[in-house]
Amino acid sequence: MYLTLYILALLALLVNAPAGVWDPAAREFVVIIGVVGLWRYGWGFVHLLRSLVYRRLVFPRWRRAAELLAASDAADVGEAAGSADRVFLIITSFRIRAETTAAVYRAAIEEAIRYGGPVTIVASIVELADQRLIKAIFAKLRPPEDVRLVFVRLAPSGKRDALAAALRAVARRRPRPDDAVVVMDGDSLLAPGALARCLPFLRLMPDLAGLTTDEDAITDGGLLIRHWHRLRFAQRHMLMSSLGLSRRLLVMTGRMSIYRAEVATHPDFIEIVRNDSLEHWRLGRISFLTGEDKSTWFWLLERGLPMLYVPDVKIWTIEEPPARSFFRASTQLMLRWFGNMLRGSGRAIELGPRRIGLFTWWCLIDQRLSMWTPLIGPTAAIFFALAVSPTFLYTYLLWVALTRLVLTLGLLTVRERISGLYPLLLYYTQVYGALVKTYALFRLDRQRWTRQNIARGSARGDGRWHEIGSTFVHTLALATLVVVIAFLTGALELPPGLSGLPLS
Amino acid sequence: MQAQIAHETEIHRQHIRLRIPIGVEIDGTRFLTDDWSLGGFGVSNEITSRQPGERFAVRLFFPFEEFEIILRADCQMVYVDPDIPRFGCKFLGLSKGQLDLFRYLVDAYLSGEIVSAGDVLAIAARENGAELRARIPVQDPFAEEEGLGRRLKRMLGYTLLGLAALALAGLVAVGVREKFFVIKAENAVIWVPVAELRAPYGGKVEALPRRDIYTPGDGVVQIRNGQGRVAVLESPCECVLLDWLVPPGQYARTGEAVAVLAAADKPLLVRARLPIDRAARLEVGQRAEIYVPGRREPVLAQVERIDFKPGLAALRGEAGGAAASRYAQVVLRPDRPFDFEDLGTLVEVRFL
Repeated sequence: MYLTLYILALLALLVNAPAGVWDPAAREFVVIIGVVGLWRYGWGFVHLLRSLVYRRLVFPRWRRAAELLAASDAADVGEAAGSADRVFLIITSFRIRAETTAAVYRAAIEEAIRYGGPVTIVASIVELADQRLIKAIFAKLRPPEDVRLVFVRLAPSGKRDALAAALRAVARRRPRPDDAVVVMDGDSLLAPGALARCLPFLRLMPDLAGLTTDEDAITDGGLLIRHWHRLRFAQRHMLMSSLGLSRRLLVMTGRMSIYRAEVATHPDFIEIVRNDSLEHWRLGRISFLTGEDKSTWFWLLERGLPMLYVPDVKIWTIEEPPARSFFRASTQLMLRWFGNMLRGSGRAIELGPRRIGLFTWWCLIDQRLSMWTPLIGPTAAIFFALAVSPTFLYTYLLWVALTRLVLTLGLLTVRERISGLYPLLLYYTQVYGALVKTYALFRLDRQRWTRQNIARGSARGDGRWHEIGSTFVHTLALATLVVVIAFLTGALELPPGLSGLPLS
Repeated sequence: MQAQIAHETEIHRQHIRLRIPIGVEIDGTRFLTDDWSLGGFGVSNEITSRQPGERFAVRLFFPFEEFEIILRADCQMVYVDPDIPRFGCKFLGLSKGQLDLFRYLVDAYLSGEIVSAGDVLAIAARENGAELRARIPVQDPFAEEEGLGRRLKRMLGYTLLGLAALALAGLVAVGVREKFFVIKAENAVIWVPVAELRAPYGGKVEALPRRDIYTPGDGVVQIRNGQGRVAVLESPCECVLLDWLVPPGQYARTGEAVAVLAAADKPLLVRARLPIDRAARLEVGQRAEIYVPGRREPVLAQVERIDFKPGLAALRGEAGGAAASRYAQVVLRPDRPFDFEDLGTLVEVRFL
């Protein structure tokens, strides 16, 4: 329904467009918007194509091979599940709603039972309440003996500590190198059959270090936040499928990723989960509070270890928005996600295209560029509207409405249903998200554990001065962008001596 | 009276929170909770009878399919937010029996067990109490001293960025001045006073021997009519022949301009058209830069004359004339004379 309304609104805009819309007086407007658009949408088209190739051609071959392997394994060992690789399923929970915790552990235990092999569920928790609840669920479901439950309880010092402690607990159980370690968030639901569909790839691809899957969200919130989450997961699915073709991903998602045990129990791997940081010329050493999935990803990337994206297995995450209003909730979430992304990607870029592959490397560069490009269009449109004619705002509105509709329709290749709110949410995420990204870029020291309510505002030193410095550098960067666009659009002019061009 | 057992949730949450709606009766009014735990409950509703800090008794109603459990408990109002509206209370001095029953109901609900009245009675009789754990303060794991090298590096970076900011501010100032305060004329041409030679009657145009410079009285062209009558058109000034408006050998009508002569004894000037509002900001003698296409360096000049008089067409009220009347003509004299070949070249003028 929303899509129909959107298309009708777009048609109304087209039909009622003022005559000047079709004859833009400023050549620069077409050039600026067109060139940026061509670049952005061209790049998006590349991802779409790669995603299709991966999901329709490449991955199905791997899937068939994995199924054959799983079938032959089953035939070799008969029903003796005891010889199957062991699975360690780590779930970190803290201050997640009890209903969510209950659903997550129930799904995990049921999946462990369904898998049929030895599965050790490692519950990394803080609260006694959670322990009691998980025990109750475990007892209620009466799993077989080879499904075990291990509790790792520690102080609420963050997810990194919790996950590192859980990984050490796995290491103490002396897993075999090819055993699987599943790392999950406490709000992610394992879909039935997820283990059986993912684990054969660790055998099929002996060099594979880890894999992650498609995700979707069950969101406890209003209409906008629900659609926004689903949109972001659809976009993620397309991007990850595209990257999957290179067997290098941009993250080993914390919601659910599976690692080979020799990787997950490697002391350096555990150490980078527990304690990761970056050196920043202005902010000093920034220790990461969040984004442990970016740390594990970097660890694999640095060593050139292949990663796999499994597009036909979906994990459901129960998203609880951190605030009631869509704007506040999305801002907080974007700050966290983009902060993690930016803290993690800089050093990955430094690894260079030779080590991580040209495509992956360029994707990381593009992540940095894409925080500026969405700001060019609206800024240019405003300048043209002020300097030439307000009609440019209408032209820009049409351009935005049309291009976002096309992008939304492209998501039909990854999801069966799309919403008419997607084009609006896409634009919101692109432009407002770009502003949030720039904010995060210059405040890499700002991190927050949402549930623990622990925030870190600044690196060592005088935090207030850091904040002033961050505001200064951020303002300078945005001002530079605005000034460059102002000159390009003719809102400001350079003297002929400086521009080297004639006056006109 | 001090409570024997307190349930704090500030740092280390002791109890899982639930959103299973239970009923709460306060001062005879029954509310539905939307968030509760063993520590307390929250209600999205208004309350006027109680204020934060007040202690009072409540009755809790746990609805089940077959029966309802009613518990009496003491609690304290923690907050009342009339804007949302919402209020929250914490339990005070729950008995161990009450705590056990609470816990059982919660766990049973979440783990999917079916609760029967018999189960509830069995749990209510059980002893499951435990002491609170001490709070563990969260330590800041990021303490680190800053070295001199890093300070210097940062200072150098800020210095460079400060310089960049100054450069940007300067650029903006220049851009604003150029856009809004510098007057420019794109409609300008290198010009000199010209004279037109017109045919006194219709006839064939015949060129007389061409000279580089014609002195006053020199014949430039002659017109021969059908009867063999010849009229010689003479140069009125020390001029050069600029252009043929009717090429030699062609026929000119009576009064038609045949040739254009340009004064050779006067320097080439620049004539620019400017909207009147912009021209009004100029003064005679004001400096200007003239940009000739293909030449990088501008030619300096000064305003010699500003003509605000509209053309005759405008005075007559003609349509095109009205538009022309909004423009003024500005004549500039270059500091360095132009070559005669530049005559007629379109130029751009930037007034300083």
